[in-house]
Amino acid sequence: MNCLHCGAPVLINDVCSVCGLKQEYLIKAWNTSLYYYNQGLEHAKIRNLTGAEEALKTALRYNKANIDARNLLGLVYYETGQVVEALAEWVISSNYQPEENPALRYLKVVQGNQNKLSAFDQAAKKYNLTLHYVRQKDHDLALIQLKRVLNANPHFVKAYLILALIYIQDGNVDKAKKALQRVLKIDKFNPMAQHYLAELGKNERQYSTSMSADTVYEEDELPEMEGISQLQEETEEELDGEETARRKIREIIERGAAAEDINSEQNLEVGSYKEIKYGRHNVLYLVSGLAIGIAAMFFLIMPARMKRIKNENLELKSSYSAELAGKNSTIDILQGDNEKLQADLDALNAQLENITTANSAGSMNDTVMTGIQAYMSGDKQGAITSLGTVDLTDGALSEASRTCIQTIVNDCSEELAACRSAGMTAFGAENYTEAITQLQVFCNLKPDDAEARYNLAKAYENVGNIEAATALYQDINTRFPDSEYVTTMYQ
Amino acid sequence: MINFDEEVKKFQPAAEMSQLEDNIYKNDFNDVADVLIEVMKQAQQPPQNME
Repeated sequence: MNCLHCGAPVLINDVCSVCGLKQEYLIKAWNTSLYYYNQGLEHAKIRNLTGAEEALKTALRYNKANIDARNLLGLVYYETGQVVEALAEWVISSNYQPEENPALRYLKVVQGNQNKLSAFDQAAKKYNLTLHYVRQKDHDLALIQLKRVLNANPHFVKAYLILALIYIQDGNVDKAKKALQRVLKIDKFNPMAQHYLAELGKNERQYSTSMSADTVYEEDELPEMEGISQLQEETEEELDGEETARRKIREIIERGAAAEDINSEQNLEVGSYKEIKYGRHNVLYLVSGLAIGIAAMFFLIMPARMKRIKNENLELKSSYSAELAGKNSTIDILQGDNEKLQADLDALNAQLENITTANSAGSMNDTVMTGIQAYMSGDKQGAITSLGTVDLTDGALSEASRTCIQTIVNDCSEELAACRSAGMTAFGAENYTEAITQLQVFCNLKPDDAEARYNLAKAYENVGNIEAATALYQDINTRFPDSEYVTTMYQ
Repeated sequence: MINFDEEVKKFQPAAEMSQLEDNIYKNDFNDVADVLIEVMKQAQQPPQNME
């Protein structure tokens, strides 16, 4: 046999070999602990949580390693909203028995939902703040805080009690009774709730008359406790034996904690407060306003605007059409004037040409006369020079003039030969200007000398008078097709 | 009649999560076995004031 306290072997005199405790005393203590545990369990079954708490605490005084008693005490604390106390009991329990201990599961369930755990913590802080407000007689602020506390922790018995007390103080007897009834739903024989209710029953008129008119709250300000009625029903059922009762209480805890979602939005109790998200509403209003504005613009403003623009376009189109017709008429008139002026111009040009031709013939006759006069005075060189400016192939030259010139040319063959020779020499010396002067005279009066004409054309080409050179090359090609001076380039 | 102020005095602050550790240490009370061991220790000690 091993010692119940330390686990060391027990001596024959029933005393532990290590701690020295007599096992008889320990067994008695353990039995007493179990007795109180059973008592606490019976109280818990009928939801006498205060009684259960007292009995279980006593059980632990006899044997602090009574795991069942400690676990059940934790459950009782949790049910009355004292989460920290419950966690403390379960932590100690799991320390005494680290394996196969239901406390491990309770801890896992409760600590697994950090949102809820945080809400419980906030509820405890707000409750403490509430106590401060109550002591300062600031009941309005206390009630606001309590409302939040009970939203976060709807089983918080102490919060209901202080709420009832505030209502009683403020004269709200009905609301106080309601809060106390809710306490009794959780803890059926809560002595404080019973005491307050009894007092209210005895002196209801007195409490009502002291009611202050300025403290008015909504009827549904307390959160609904959805699980309470179910718990009540369950505890009223017949429970078969100790194990069934324990299982039931564990299920209560699991439903209370494990059924909560991680999502804080969905984590609210039925009937609990939910802050109105004005930010989200504002966005909604803004979007709606924009949609209505756009719709109004499309259905009211845009059609009128489109119609006005269409009318403006039509007016503009008609004005342009009228303007275009006017312009077309003007163009027709101007075109007629243009044709008439062109005809006049052509007539005037013809007149001018006739006059120029007449002037040219006159000028040529003067030159011929000058040449003849020089010849008659014996100046053959002067005659050749004057007549050399006249081209014998020119059609404007009269037949009489041509015959007269030809006669003089025949008589002045020496002077012409000298002129040709001078031209050829100048060409050979690359004095193209002089060559042109001499050869031009010679070629005008002796148009059948292909060589002279060729050299003249070359001289013109060299001084850059391509037009005159081309005319001469073509003349050679036409009139002397068999000569050696034919230039294929100008054929 | 309920005396509001007296009743309020009965309400103690609730434990917060930050106090969990303290709560666990405070919970380490003596049970019957601890008391018996303490008594035995005192019984085994010689009396201090022997005159």
